[in-house]
Amino acid sequence: MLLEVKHMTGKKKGFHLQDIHFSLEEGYLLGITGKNGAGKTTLFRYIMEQKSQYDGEILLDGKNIQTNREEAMNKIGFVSEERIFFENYTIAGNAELLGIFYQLWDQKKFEELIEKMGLKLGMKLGRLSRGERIKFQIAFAVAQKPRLYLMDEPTAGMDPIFRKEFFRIVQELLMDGDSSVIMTSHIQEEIEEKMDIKAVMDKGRLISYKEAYQ
Amino acid sequence: MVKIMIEKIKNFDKKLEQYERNNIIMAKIVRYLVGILWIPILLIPIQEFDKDLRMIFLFGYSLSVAEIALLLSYYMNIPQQGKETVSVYEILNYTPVDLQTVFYVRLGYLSQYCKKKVCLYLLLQVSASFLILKTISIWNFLFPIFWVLIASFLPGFLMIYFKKGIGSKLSIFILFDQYFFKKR
Repeated sequence: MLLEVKHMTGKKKGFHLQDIHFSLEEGYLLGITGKNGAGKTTLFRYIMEQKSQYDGEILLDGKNIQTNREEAMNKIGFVSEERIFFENYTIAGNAELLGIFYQLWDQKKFEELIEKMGLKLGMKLGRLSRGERIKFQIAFAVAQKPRLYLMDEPTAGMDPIFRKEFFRIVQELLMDGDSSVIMTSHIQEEIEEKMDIKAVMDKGRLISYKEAYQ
Repeated sequence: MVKIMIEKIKNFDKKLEQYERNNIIMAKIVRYLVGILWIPILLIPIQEFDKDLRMIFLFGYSLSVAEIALLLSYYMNIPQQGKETVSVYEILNYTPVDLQTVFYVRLGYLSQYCKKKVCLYLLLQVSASFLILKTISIWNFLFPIFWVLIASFLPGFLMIYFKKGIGSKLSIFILFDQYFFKKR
């Protein structure tokens, strides 16, 4: 099993996730939907942040991500508007600075993907449009050679052409069967038509989790 | 594993320094220029003030000189990340690097920095104290060390042990952390 979230409940005061429990095998696209404030982004934060506090556990390839954080972060490619990079540096500069922290970083792959997505290495990150930033982050994530991609509302506000291209890229990522993608989305059509597994969150709880054919 | 991570962090800081080369040079120029502000302290005839007033003046002056240096450096050099500045810790938050290790590596730079620079601060403080107060108080002696330690400790400490947003709001201290202690 690639990812197992076992009865995870946040410890924060105020809004927190409650008893999140699901698992995900390799090769699947899991779509999570829900209203604003349902907890979709919070779920990714719990997985990614260094000081997340929760009961329960999250296992990636059978290992607890909190006690094996370095290994886990090497295996997770994170795409989100919340993710901050060096805005004043170029795409190449960001890769040069941050790529060194990833064990399997593939600089050649990164450059190939950047070119394939119509970006240039010399472009300053702060000047990219939202769609271009998402593409940069996807290229960055892919170059890490992760086992799991977490993508937070990557298609929000994007035109249909971008969305079509985005899902083509996602299908390519899943083709080798070694990794999985979890993405959040408000767009019902995307969840219904594109996802292998559909999940719904509401008020910090996972209220539905089912395979597409169910 | 920790040793490998420390080497990666040092490599990262080395590359960061290259990217920030111009800003670091500007920050140095600003700090040296502001250092000249120390000269008036020797010229103002505050020997005629009473001792408590002289003490307050010296403390306030030291604080304002350091603050002006930081403010000028901040406005001239800080990277504008959208509407507010961000800390390197926020950028590294979602990477495999452990932020505590980053903090301790930078603490290592601080100790080396202190060996070189704090002597200069102490010399200025001591000479000013002696000239103005005709006495060397322990507070004047220790003040520059406290200032430097607080300014470097605070952003990393708050970033690691509290919410990440706090680190970005302490822009002046972030500048201190990012640029001031790159020397090894």
